[in-house]
Amino acid sequence: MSFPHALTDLYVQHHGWLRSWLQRRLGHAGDAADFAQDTYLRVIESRTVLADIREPRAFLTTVAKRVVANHLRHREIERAYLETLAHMPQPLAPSPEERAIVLQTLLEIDAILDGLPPKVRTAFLWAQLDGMPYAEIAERMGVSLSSVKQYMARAIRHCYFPGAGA
Amino acid sequence: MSAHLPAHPGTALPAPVVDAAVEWLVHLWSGTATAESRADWQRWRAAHPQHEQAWQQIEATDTRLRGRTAGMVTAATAVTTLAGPPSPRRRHALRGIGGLAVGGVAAWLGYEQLPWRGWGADLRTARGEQRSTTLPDGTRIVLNTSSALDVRYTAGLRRLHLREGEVLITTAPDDAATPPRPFVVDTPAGRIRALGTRFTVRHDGIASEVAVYDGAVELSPLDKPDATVRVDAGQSARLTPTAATAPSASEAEPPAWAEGVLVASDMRLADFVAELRRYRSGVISLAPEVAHLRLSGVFPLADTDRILQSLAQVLPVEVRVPVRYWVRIGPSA
Repeated sequence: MSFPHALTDLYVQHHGWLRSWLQRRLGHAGDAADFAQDTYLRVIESRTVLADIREPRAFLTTVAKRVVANHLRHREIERAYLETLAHMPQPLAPSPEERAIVLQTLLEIDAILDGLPPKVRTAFLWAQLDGMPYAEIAERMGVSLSSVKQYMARAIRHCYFPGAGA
Repeated sequence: MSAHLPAHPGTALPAPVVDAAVEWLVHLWSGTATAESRADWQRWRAAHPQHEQAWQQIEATDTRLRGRTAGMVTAATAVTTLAGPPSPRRRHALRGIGGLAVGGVAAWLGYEQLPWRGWGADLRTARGEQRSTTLPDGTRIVLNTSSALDVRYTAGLRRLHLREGEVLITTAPDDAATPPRPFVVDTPAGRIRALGTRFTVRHDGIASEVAVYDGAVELSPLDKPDATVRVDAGQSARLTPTAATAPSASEAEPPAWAEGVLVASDMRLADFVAELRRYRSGVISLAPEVAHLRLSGVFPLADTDRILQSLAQVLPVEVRVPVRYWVRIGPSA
């Protein structure tokens, strides 16, 4: 079956069910509708071979959980960013447009770093974005130089060779 | 997760090559690389095509990463926002989605509901816009693109007036009045009386198309109010000022547009474009030689640009935008 056909089937047969499943868990019809919609968009973007799916509802709930978790993560980053801005001296505060771009960029970087622990992320971000030497990173983080090298190797492998295994 | 940057197609690089590439990058970023070690690195790159391939992969990803950040995001900001541990709130919410009820998540997520309260609201949507709201009696309204709906509730009647466009209505029992007030939708073609129900009304300027998903409605033509026709769940009928057609079998589920998507199932491109025009300002012209092509899919109505782009991926067509409000769809070269 072609992708669009399988997708139409998946939509027609399970959309109503998925929405009520989400609504039961979120307690809000509007959010449930939005998340159900995002779930299908995610399926579209992933180009998953739908014909191979034996349990469509289990598949949809897996994707839906991820969609909701991502959404919550986005909110969390947004809040953290706004807190950072609140501590920024006034002349440095970015315009609303710049804020939107920075936030979008942060979300994209976060997606790339997904699954990495905080220390690994920290080391990678200092090195990648600011070009900070490892010795300085080690000092700032209060860890050894060899730890920083290990963090960097893990982050680089994760970001540049995803799927190559750890 | 699918969040990683996509790997290049056909990159089955052997593990030792990946290991070496990672090691080189770790070294080059360390701040202690020397002219000598850089020369060693260049020799390693040139030593084997797979080494070069691994490095190309790093550079392509790096270009994208740096292109995105391009001085907009400092490491300090990124570290404080992205390198913290997951907050208790998030963990709680994730547990919630796993099975426990989460109170107040809806409010926290900031779902925007438009404040269309009151008994005399005039609801309007622009082309491409959709809005949903709950009326004071609990009736749910989803207004489709280019629509005008007036809400007129009185002591004895719950009345909506659809001037143009399309609306999905899910009525609620009237708890505010005893006996319950009747619920009616007036259109330029006549009156639709709800009998505890969920239904859509679309008025196209001449006639009103009514489809029922739950319960039933009664159609009453403007000029012949007594010539009523009853339409039950799973049926649809057409109402003109002089008559209502006999009901015929129809979709059992509310339409996809109410979910913000356009569902095409083996649909002719000409019909698809006609539907798309309802949601998009400007002109979409379609070359006759591709009008017969067929497509299927689920398309997000909120982003018609994206729908148009995706057409070229699923059909042998080319989509050109000579000026902003003019889209031309023709055969691909």
